[in-house]
Amino acid sequence: MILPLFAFIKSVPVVFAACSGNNLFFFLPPWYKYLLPDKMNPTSCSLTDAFQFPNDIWLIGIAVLEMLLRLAGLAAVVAIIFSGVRYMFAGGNVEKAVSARRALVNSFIGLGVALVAAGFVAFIGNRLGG
Amino acid sequence: MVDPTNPIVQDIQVVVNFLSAGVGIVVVGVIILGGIQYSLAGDNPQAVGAAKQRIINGLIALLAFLLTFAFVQWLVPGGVF
Repeated sequence: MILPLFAFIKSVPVVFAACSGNNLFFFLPPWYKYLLPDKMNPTSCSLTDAFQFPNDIWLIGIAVLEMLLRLAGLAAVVAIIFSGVRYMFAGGNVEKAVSARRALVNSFIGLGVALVAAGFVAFIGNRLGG
Repeated sequence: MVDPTNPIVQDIQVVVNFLSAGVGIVVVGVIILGGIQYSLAGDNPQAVGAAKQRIINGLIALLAFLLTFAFVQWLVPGGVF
């Protein structure tokens, strides 16, 4: 009964190829995201032709940076929610409220530090790389 | 100007190019790690201090790299680049 409704799937070209670089694992990008020979239209997963030894290591480093940035966002969201819940349940207890507020401010500061670091390097790279 | 066919200068150029491409990536990685640590520190002053120390260490590493680069540039007659 349901199956004919999804028959159009066969006619749709496969957009998400195996090596598109956008196939996230949970929320992390694959480590070879920036190594693919043709990033727009990858035809195979072979990296042997594209990889040049010393300098392409840093492309893996950029992928690691992206993973770290996503982890930083996740950590900040979790910390903000956690400290917000603590703030809500502080009630009239001033010490608990102050503690929760400090934790909230710290989680925002951590998110800001990570974003500013990444954005600063992107800015410098754009200015230098043209 | 240094003779660019000098093998020592060529090796220095390969190494310096590699390192100067990577120093920004590594330093930003350390600072982002410090940011994660800062976010998860909560209201614990010691954990906040550790995160700050990590961020400061990353910046010190960047400064040390710049000083070393300047030193190599000064040491090699005519400069590496």
